[in-house]
Amino acid sequence: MKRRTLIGALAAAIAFAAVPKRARANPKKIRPPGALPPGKFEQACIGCYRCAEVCPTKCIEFPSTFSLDQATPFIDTASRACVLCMKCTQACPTDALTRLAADADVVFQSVKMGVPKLTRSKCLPWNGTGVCRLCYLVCPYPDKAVELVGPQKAPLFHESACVGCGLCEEACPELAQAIVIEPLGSA
Amino acid sequence: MAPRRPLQPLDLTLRHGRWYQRTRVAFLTFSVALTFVLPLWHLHSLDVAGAGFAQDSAWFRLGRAFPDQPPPFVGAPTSISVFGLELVDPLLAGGVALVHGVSWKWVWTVLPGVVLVLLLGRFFCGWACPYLPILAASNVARWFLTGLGFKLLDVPVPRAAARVALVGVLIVTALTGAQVLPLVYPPALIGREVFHAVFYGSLGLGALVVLGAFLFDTFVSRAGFCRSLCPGGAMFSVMSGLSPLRVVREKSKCTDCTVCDVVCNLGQKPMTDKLDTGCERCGKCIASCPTKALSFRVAKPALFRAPEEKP
Amino acid sequence: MSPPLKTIVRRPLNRRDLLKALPLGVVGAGTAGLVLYGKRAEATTQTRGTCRFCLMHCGVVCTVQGDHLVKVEGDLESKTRGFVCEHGYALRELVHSNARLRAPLVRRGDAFHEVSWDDALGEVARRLEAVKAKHGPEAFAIQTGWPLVRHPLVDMLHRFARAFGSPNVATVSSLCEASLRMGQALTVGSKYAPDVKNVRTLVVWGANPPTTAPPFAHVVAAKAVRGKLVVVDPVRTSLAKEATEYVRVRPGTDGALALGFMHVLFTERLVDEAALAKDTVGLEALKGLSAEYPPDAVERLTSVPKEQVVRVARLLGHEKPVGIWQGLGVEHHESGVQTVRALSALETLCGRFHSGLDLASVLTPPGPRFREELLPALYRMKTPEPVPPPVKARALGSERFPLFEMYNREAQGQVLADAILDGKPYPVRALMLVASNLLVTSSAAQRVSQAVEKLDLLVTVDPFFSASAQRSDVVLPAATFAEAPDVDDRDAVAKGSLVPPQHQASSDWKVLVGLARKLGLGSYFPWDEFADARAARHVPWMRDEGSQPVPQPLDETPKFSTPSGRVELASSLLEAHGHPALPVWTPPSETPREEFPLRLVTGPRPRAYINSQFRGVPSIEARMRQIEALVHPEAAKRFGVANGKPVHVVSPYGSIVARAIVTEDVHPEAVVLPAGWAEANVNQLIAPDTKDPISGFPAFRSGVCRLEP
Repeated sequence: MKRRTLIGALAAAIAFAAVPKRARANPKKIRPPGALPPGKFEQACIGCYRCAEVCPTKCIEFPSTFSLDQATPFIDTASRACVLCMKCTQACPTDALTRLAADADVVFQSVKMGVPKLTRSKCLPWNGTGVCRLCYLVCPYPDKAVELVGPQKAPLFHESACVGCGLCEEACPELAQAIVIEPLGSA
Repeated sequence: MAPRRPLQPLDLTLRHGRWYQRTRVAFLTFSVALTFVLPLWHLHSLDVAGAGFAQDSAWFRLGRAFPDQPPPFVGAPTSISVFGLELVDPLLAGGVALVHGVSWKWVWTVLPGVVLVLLLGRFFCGWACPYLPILAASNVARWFLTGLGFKLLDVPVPRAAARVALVGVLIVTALTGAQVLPLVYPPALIGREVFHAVFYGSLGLGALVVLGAFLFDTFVSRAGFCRSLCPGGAMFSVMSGLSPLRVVREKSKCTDCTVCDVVCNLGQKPMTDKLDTGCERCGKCIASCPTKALSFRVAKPALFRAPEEKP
Repeated sequence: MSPPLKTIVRRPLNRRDLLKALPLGVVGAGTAGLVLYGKRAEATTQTRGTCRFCLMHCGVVCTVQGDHLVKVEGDLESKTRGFVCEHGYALRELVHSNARLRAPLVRRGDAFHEVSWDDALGEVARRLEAVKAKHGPEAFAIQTGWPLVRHPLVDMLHRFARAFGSPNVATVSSLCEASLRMGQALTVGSKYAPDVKNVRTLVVWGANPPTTAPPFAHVVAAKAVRGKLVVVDPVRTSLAKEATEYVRVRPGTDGALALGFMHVLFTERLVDEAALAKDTVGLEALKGLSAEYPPDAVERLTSVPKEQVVRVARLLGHEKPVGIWQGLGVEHHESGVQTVRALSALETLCGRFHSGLDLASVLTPPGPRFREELLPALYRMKTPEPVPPPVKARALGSERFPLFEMYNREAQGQVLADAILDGKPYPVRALMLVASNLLVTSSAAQRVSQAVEKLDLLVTVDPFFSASAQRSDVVLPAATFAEAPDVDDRDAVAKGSLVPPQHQASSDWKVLVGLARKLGLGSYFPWDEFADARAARHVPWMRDEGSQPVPQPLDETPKFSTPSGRVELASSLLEAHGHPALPVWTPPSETPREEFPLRLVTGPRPRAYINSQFRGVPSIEARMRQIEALVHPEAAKRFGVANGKPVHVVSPYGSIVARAIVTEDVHPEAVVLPAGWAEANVNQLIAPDTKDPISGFPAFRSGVCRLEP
């Protein structure tokens, strides 16, 4: 009887392993750099929180709510942004975060955490209420991901060249909060 | 089947195998300490004290920095990197293999754990699981409550329930395509909750699962969670079929005092040689036997034994 | 023997059983402790102050939780109207960096020991007294760094040094801005601003305001739309891309280009000679000098097409007045001061000082003070009483660069290594670095490194364990500007700071006062707070050294603060000191040759860093992780250098590895490297003793090199 249980369990496991699957748990969240595409990431992450432990800016968080993604890390770029040091990718045991070198070109080509959305009516240079270029100044890829246009030096984002680290969103002044990094959708 | 009598403190008196027990407790303490110390350590071991970043936890503001070099230990007992050597719980790795797939890196990270389990059986449960202090606390609670005159349940939940739980979790994992094990597997949960407490100054709702397990163990069935619900225990039990280490009894010395049966958290019955793959190699039965009748021996693994030899 | 079974099986609970509940206690208390302690909330306050990372002095509002800085924002009510850049924003990372020094360190043998402040200052005082007894008080020197540029504390450092008996305080002026100050003062009597708003044409020459003056980036760029903007630079900067004219000049030939412009202005009669004649000295001589620089010759010398030379000169001549924003690109050559003078002369010819603009808003107005002293603008010419006694020894560098000493009243730090190693003009045996990373930022890096070995005492006052601190005998943990009394852009010192001091850090002022009192100089430092010292009544001082020329008694108030009261296109002071009176151009002494065919320009600031600051600050490092060499595609092809790959930059004096950035934006004959990396110190690539003969500035931007992949 015991043996039958064992064999049954193994058979069930093998059967399920063979079935093609799709991650149902696919919350829209900004994942740490180097993360597998949405859906794939949730499959590969075992919630060991090593990435969050080694993060120098402690930007990697875990949800407090009880949900299917409770054990998967995310970044709340509004409060703390990623500085692209790639330490988390080197700590991941399951390659849910692909191991990357902290090299500007490697990061530029391989990392895509989200896409920036600018609300021009809130942006100080765009609506003419102030002098501010902080998003451009903190951007790791200035002139590629964000450039300054016009006499007001207002920011213009290029989604395709943005890695989505969120330094701009974090830096955007409290009274503006014009930038939001939106998570990637399903692959 | 007559119910077991409740565990009494003196049952656990160390009579033999002191070094085995001391080693085990030391290893266990180390393992549990890692769970608590590593998050605190990492909080202070990096480039920036994080104080300017994290407003969630006052722990950010404590203590002196460690030098900035690759930390020798990262993670918790279920998934730890020790001086560059990766150790991942075979159960969690199995979940990844089930829904995500297998890579060479997966093989290397899971291999040390698998080899250890194949050799030593379900040793993780007795030697390293961070749930053990909570289980011990549950046993203590049971002593006190029984001492106060409460009649506590000790429902003998069938051990197969754990396998059902394991398969159930794996099915849910496969159906949702998400990792469910880290949500219900106490060692992984405890590590993450401690990390949560240190990093964010709060507990995640995963702590409720741990609390539930504690209440279940205390009021429903002694060590019932470990024995009959924990998917990790079930997984290790399955793999333990290949372990050559086994507790054997010298019938001539045995006085049928039942102490060994009583001290076993996992419901093994060394007194009647009813030992199966659920043995966690904690050696408490050997240590508490008044007549030195029990000892570890290298024996034929359970999987290869003839049916009549089986309990 | 084993106890009988009966007692095993049934036994009442006893106290020892409590011990067995220990795991519950430990885990429960542990988790509860983690949560409860972590939840401890601290009061949040907001502090206002000034960001002093750079000279823009932006107003900032800081959110402070307990004693922790959690957010920095621009102050909308300040002069900079809410602007704050990534450096100000990274203040919290810097203040709370784990790399901060936590306690005073004293080197004993090969190891540093943490000691108390009292012991550390006692040790410094004891060893300073020993140096004083053996080599005289002038054997002690202080070198300050970038954070103290235009900081009122420098005044107090002078006071301290002079109370000790040494004239040797060297600041960043030894290699930054002083050439500009001297060149402009020698020509028109004082330093002046480019007056961006009022001039019609703005020339940005060897500077990049979007990098070095970010709050004004849009004001400067707007000149291209409302006016004319000319950028002269070997690198096509972001500003150059917006400019009316971008002049890609060969590094080190700015003087020739300026004279070439003057030639066109004179020959095409775009100069109002009649108006200038009565207000200037040496107009005809300058005309004669510029005649040697026809556009053909200028094209050959500067690689600027002659058509462009004529075109830009005509633009300058027609679109008057012209203001020139000069940067270090002009100063860091052997002919630095003379080039600054050439640019001042060019501005003068283009009607800068004769076009009805309010001179008072541009120049420091000459007045009664000028009659007493030649240099009216130096704030440190006053100090509170009691005034320290006069010092006999002359400051270092005053023999070789007397004009530098005259115009800056301080030691020229570039000769420190000579004084230490060769004992010329007198030995220096004790050095205190305040907010300076001398080993990384000084010219002649190898010689400075040797010199440090020869010192009896090297003290570093710094928040970080910098490359220089690691070589020091005593390291004192300094507070960052955020933890020290706030100093606003008008030098007013507040009592409070933005954040409480971290660890055992102490403000530079407290270090100075503590040390002075240990040395028995407490009578000169009776104030506990810097604000009190600043508030004390100030009296003139440092006028006793005979280094100042006696000004001519003038009948009327002169327009310009030069000895003649006019714009000195030909400077009498320079002539008196044996330099050419006219703003002549001399080519760099090192010319590219077969072995080292490229011109090496070191030191332009990348936007990410300010000199050697911000190393190890994560959000800043995200912007630039290693030193980057700008290489033109032609040079890259010739030397087999690939974009983004490591490249060895080899000069006759050393070699470093940098990441190659292959770009058309850089002059084809030049390689451009920023400075400030301890592990890739560009200063060891530059000839150790090529200096501007007037100011003593190192020729950081006219080296030679080759590339190796």
